[in-house]
Amino acid sequence: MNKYLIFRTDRIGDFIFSRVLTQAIKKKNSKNIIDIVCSKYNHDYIKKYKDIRNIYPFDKYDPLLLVKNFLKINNENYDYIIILDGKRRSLFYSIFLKSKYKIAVLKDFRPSIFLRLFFDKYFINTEFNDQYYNFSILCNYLHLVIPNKINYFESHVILKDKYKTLTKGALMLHLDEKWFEELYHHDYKYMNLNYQNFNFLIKNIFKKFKKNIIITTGTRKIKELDKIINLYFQKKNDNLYYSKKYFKKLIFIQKSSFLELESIAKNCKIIICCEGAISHVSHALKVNTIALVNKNNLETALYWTNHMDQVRLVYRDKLKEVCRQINKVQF
Amino acid sequence: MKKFKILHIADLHIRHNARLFYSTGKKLNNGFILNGHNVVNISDRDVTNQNKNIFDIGSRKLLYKTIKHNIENFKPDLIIMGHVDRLNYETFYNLKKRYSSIRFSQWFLDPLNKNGPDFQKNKDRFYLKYQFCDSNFITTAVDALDFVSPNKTFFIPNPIDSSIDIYRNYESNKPIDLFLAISHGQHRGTLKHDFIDDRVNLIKKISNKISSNIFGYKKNPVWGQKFFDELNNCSMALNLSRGKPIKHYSSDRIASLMGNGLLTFIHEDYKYSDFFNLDELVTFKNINDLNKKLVFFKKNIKLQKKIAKKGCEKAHKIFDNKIIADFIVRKTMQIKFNNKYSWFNE
Repeated sequence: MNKYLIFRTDRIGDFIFSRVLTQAIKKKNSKNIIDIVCSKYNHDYIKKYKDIRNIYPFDKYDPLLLVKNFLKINNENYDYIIILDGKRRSLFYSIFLKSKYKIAVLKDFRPSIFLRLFFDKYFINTEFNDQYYNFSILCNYLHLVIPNKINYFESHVILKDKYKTLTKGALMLHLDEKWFEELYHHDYKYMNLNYQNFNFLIKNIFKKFKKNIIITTGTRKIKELDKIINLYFQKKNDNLYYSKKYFKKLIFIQKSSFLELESIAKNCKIIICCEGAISHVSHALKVNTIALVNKNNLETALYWTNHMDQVRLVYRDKLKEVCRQINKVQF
Repeated sequence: MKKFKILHIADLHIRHNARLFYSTGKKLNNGFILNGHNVVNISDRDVTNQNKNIFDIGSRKLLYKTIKHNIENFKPDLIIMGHVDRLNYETFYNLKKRYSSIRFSQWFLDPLNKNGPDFQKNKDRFYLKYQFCDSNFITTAVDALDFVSPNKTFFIPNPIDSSIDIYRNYESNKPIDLFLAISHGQHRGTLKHDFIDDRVNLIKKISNKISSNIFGYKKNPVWGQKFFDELNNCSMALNLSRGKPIKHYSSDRIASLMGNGLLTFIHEDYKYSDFFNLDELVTFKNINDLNKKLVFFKKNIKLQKKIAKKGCEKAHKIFDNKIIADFIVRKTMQIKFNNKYSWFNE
């Protein structure tokens, strides 16, 4: 039996992908113990996984929490500390932690002296290969066998969908901040989605897929979406809105937690979203998915999605062009 | 097929003064050239050997610089690497990042056998380049290993070169029955003191009814033309590799034995029966079975020559260096391979 501490302080999608590693660890010996250092934001989500024993929330601006966790971790005497997120904060934090073996998955080789001095093994999470391939190499270094079939949701219970009657067999359109300019990477192409052309998008999706549409968002406040809700929807309860024109055929579920999104995604037949955590979930749930990716970063997109056989990629572009591409998609 | 510009980085043993003129690196190199590709070589270990500098231990920087200059001048379509162990992981990453449009590939001949010699060391050497290579070629069956991706890793047999493996021992009667050559490393050339070689246990039990020409046990191994001269005195050969047998692995010596027309004996657990029929190669279960078969074929010279001939012809056909070189290039450049041979794992 070995004790593993994994640093995954980045986004939920990254954590979901890392399930291949946790699965491989458990497959080797079901008594192996896995603890995670994660961001405060992901803490509640990761808590739902039964095979993760302890979760240490990481916040570089909270020195008290850092010290508290440091003491707790050092009492555990881990066999392996694995830095999966490649963040410098994780690298620096981990060098003071006790463990028999330290391995880091990096974005680059800096700071090289630290790496050589404090890590037994390090390798780069390069985009020359897809993530799955890189993880298979990591598993090899750890003498683990990577599972052929990725079952992200082993040991994880998906919440009951409280809107099941509405979402069953529908199309989920996930409008998170990645759709809207200035809310995500500045060098990305944006779809210029706004309250004026919103109907154009909806009509196109209705025409192509002939399914009810469930619009979901993340927890982040997006002004343009508020405008859309005010114009085209009427409130049904807390965060549920019906379309003024299409009624139950087009509903808006506002500000869902990731756990709620997961449960909605499970009931839907098709998902349209920007590539990210939702496309990882949809892949895991085997739901046909259209993921919007940046054409200039295709290598990055493939690095994340190459192993996802039911995900179709559509390039981020002006809304008209995005709709044209969606119309051509075949599952 | 399009002719490619290939940068082949592999040890061509220039510093050994032709002692290893029949090395696998050379045979593959010949294969690339004979297939019409434009090949430039860097003999990595000769480069690192020619220049010693206390500020560049192991001549790593020199080798990296040499490779970079060659790439800049030659602009290859693909880089094929042999056992390039002198460069470290970061250097390979830098090369791949800098020249991302070039396809990278490696061939690896040493055993990757958990129950074999130097497993961890060999695995680490193989893994050094594995992440940056578009294709990897190994001499162990891919399905016998649980740590390589079958999408990017392919089996290749040890190549036979018709310009090197020129003898046809079955054509005449030979003064000695059995040829057996082992070594403690071909670069070293001589036997190590106090080195325990598991193959010796079997060698000691070979029947004394058989006359034998054994090198690497009690006598130092032979190299260069002397190796072929000694081999040419024998009608049969025993192919022995270190460690427990693993599917399809063999030391590169098998190419010299079968390729020069000796009746070759190999342990059945290597599963060479996947490539050769019973009338082309002799497999054995254990030492008793081996001794029985050796004595049988010593007495039945006609049958011995017949099997040796058929085995040699088949080996030249399916293990030909041009075919293997073509396979490496096509797999790396993602070009369909039309011919089917028993060793392809597509």
